[in-house]
Amino acid sequence: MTTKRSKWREALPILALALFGLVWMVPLIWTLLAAFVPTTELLNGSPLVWLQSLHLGAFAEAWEVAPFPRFYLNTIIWVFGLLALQLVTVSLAGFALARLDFRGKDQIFFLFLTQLMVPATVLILPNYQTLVALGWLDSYQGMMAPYIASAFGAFLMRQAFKQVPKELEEAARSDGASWLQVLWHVFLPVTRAPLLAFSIVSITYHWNEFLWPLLITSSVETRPLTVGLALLVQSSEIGAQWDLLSAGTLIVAVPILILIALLQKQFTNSFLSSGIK
Amino acid sequence: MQSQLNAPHRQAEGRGRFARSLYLPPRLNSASAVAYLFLAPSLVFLAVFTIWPIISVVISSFHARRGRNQIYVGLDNFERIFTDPFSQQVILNTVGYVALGLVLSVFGGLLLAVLMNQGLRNIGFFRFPFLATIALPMVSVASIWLFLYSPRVGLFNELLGGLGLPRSNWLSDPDLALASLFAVYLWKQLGYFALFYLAALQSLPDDVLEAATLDGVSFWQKLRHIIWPLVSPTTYFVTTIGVLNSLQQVDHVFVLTQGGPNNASSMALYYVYEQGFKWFKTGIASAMTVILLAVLLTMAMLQFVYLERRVHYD
Repeated sequence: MTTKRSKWREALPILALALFGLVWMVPLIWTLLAAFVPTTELLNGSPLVWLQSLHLGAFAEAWEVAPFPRFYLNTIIWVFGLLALQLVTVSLAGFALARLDFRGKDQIFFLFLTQLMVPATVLILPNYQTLVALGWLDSYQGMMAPYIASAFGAFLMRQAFKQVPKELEEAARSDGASWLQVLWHVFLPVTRAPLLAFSIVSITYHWNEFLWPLLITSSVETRPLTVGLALLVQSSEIGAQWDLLSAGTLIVAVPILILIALLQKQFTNSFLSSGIK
Repeated sequence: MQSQLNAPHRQAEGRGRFARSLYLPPRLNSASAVAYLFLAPSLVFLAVFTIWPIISVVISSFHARRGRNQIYVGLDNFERIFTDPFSQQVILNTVGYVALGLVLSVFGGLLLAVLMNQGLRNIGFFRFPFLATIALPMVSVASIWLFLYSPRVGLFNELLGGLGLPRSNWLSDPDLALASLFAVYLWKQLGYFALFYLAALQSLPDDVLEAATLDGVSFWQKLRHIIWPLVSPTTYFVTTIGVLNSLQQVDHVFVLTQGGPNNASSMALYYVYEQGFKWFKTGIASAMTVILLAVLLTMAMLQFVYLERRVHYD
């Protein structure tokens, strides 16, 4: 009797979690269904009817209605181009903050801290004005500009570089290596984990970003996926083409979903280290 | 010393020698120059896209457009924001949204984390739904929910109708619109807060939780009297990022309601967008940005004070 009871007590939280997870999945599953099953069948038919009416038509149509291949290319250029620039700036800055003595370190530290406290999203208006002045509207560099310096990345790398043993650095220095060579040959090879963590946060954040690219871009040649999807949603909402809309949503979201499924652990750790994205 | 100064080719051999020749401690001199060189790319972009916009937005919050000119209007923009019913509602919406977001992200996040912390072998399987929603673009999430909320064919109304309950206009009913946006936010972000609590729970010593289980205390007692005090640093952290997070999310407002109906679901950052980019009232938009900045900086300050205290008393 008692063992039965305690078994129940053990199973209860797991059941609760499973139920929680299932409820959480409903919107995703519904979207998946809606993309592959025509809307009338989805609403009126049984699961058996759904199976019989599976089709890929909505994807073909979404692919045709909006230039998704181009939006993909734009997203990849802006997200990975930005990441490449960020990796350079955060490695250099993190190294200087962790390993070099210089005057005004406290003040510079405070400058970085300011960016951590004031996310770029809040500064869309003045930053937009700056881009107008620079003539960078509707360009990749315009989208990237506010994020090229990353306080989060610099602090993350500073933390990682601080843990590299002093002896390694000194050995390389006494062999006549320049600071840049020390950074490249000694520090970066042993800090791949934080570099990856930063990359995951940066990629997810900017792949998903909407408001800033919406304001900056105005042509098919620069618009990223998120902006393209929002335009598709707004244009098809009236006609209520839900299968089309669901297919579009999946086209944008699937790469991220696959990444998470493959890299769950790294994702978890990266999110944890991000705190403020 | 003299000979070294006269032989520039030898300076190139080693920075240490070059530094000595200038009567400076060797590490300081060479490292300083290198440090500034390394910091330069970051500093340039920080100056132009973080520091300058803060200065310029404060300046333009004291100005208003008259014809083609910007004239100084003192605190008029701020007065307008706090007295105009339209912007008052925006502030009220934002405060309510952020406050409710905090309560639910703390309690919901902790509860979810406690459930996740069961020592399951297949934790990844149970974690996936919550991770997936965090990492999906808010625009995709909002599109998904647009379908769920659809008055005629949406899943929610289908379910309600199936149960014989009255259907709702989730997004076009002024009483429901903001709550509907909030549900989207919660669905997307709850897992994010749970992750922090999960990490905190996993770093607690095993015997603390086991001892509590053995003594036959109930689940709620354990949560209330043992876990809750132990994870209080995480609660503080989650509170901070909860405010930052909920203030910054606007993509769902764009896709689902555009602040409507009748301003019922507008929030601070959406207001900045509307005033600044749709109606070109840069003064008003700047003033609202400054208010947001003030909130963020206050939060940061509180965090410093808190960290300082922990350093002193722990």
